[in-house]
Amino acid sequence: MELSRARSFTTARPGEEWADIARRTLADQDPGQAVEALQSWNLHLFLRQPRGRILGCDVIFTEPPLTDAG
Amino acid sequence: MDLIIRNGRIVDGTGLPAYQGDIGIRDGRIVSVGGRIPGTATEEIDAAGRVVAPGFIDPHTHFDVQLLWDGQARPALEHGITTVVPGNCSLSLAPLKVEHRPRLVGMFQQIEEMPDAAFDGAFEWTWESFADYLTALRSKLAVNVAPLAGHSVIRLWVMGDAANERAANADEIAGMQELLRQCLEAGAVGLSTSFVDVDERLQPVPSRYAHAEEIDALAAVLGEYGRMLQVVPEFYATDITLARVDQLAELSLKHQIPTTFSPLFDSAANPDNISRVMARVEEQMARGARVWPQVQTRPIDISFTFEVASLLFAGTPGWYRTMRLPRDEKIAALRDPERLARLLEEAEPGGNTDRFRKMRVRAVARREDDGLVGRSLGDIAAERDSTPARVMVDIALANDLDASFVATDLGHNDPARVGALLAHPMVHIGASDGGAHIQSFATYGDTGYLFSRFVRERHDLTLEAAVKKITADTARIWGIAGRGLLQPGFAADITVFDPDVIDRGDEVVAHDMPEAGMRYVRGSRGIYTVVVNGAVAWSAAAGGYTEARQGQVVTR
Amino acid sequence: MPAEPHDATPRIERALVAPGHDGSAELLLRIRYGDGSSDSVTLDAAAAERLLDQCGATALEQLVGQPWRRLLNVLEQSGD
Ligand SMILES: [Zn+2]
Repeated sequence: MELSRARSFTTARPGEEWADIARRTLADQDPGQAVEALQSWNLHLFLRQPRGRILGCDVIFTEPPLTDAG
Repeated sequence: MDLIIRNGRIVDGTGLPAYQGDIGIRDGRIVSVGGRIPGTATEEIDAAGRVVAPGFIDPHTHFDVQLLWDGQARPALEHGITTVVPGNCSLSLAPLKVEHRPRLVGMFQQIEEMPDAAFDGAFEWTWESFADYLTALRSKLAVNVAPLAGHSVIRLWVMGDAANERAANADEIAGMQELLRQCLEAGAVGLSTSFVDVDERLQPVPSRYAHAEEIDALAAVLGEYGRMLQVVPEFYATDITLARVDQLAELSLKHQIPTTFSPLFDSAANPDNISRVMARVEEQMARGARVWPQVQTRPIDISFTFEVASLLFAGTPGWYRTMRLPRDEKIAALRDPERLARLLEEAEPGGNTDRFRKMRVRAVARREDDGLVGRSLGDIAAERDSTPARVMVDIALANDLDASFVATDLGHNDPARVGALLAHPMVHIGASDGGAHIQSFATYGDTGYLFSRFVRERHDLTLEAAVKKITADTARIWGIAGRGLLQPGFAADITVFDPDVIDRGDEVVAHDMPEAGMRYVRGSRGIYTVVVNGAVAWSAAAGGYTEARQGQVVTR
Repeated sequence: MPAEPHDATPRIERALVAPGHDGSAELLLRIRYGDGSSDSVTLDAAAAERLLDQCGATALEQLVGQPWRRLLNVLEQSGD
């Protein structure tokens, strides 16, 4: 059964930091801008302890939210 | 027969219409349902005019520690709950090595708000393994227990301090798998994990350091037994919850296991949360995945003191500024008539007292103010010929700021929306958090509230549907065999209640934790008899709790 | 100060107090992205206090229009 499209996300592989995830998921973008974009889509990881550090179980969005009507 | 419950209105847990009849019990099991049972039994209960239902099952609790000195899980039992699931949110009391006890105590205190005394002398810590923990528990139980094994403690056992630092290597993952297997063999109903909880230092609990392959490996072991995976997702961020639903669905399909996430809330601040999450759950369930959202019946209350600046005051900048002042300056500001007058005008513009009128006094330091606890500020203001905001300031100052107040029904509080959600066939009613947050609010009586609010008052669910939701559905979702229905051969877990009266009582302060530690509790209304494995464990007619200790670990 | 239509910087669009699971009040921020999409994040009381300070805001409405970088800087710089 086909699922409707959902906002794409990944989880970190052991040892991966922001730059690694940016390289893996946003390979066609400028590395600095890719990290910037990734972080702007994942503010939830900065709103908790430890701030901005990626934990193994974290959901990391690799695109902005799906555009809604509002 | 050992026990016959006569003439009751039998709501058997199937969801089918109630019918009149007797229920016969022998050796802890139901042997006869419906019709008139001839002869007499050792004990008989007249249930005329009352509902006879399967005992309620509470799937999200933290009674772990309390059960060691209180096998009745007070006050859950008096609300008709005959089975509790402890060990949620990645934390259980086993498996646990001796040297890790202080770490676990810290984590438990953070979520349960249990005082030190609860761990220090209130029970004898005799176990390391899950099996030995269940042995320690068994002899004390008046309620049934379907215990989860916590991912954080399994990780701690295998990885020690590194559990809070890094990913597990292949050997460690294999070690966790073996340990989980032992727990399931001993009687664990599944594995709990958490993506949000923190310990007493506000650091992430160990389960949050687990990468995808570790969770997948543990889910594979659950698959060997067909057991449950419980998770705590990021509750207010809809997109993350949707991602969690998808993750759980993949694990469910791959390993053929049930999964549940808890809690799912409705909130006016995030109104499309529920509809988006449920739409995804429906899609995933249609694929054959089992992803059960747990929804609580009770609204959320928010409490605050004058010691710290609650965001509740963010809408009144003058108050918020005052609350953020250093303690002495804050007291001085509140004592200054001119400044207070400005604050009161901001809080109650033109004499409109809506903002604080319904808030209640939650706790006070001064004995002489004890009588104010539980009363609304509006009520006290009327008595004192004052206003709610002024009364609140007076009470705070009189108690040297050591007074707390509560704003009730602030979230998950739209009855029409919550009622429709609770009635949804893919919603699992639960998430009570019984035994947790004990010094913040009462986590008991959600089942009574289900009947009073959503069955009797609003008709969102029929009586039969509501009973099914918290008995047979729960047993089926969790794979708890032989319980949740009134049928011959099933365990005699039975709750007798008055459908016109059943409700939760008012929230009150109790000092019934070890060494007179305090917590908030709620008594029950309209419950008459609670039977666990054939023995009357609570009875209004007999004055409440009995000596019965027939509770079992139900997965064994 | 709503974002300009061609401005790609994600900004705070709305700030609301919401009840938290543990019985305390939290701040719910709606973030509007440059492509028109939006998302919500939740701050605890301490983080919300710092954010208000850093933005020189005394009321929640004054957070509206603040760029996400400011939010991130506030949180990254905080010692805890
Ligand atoms: Zn919990």
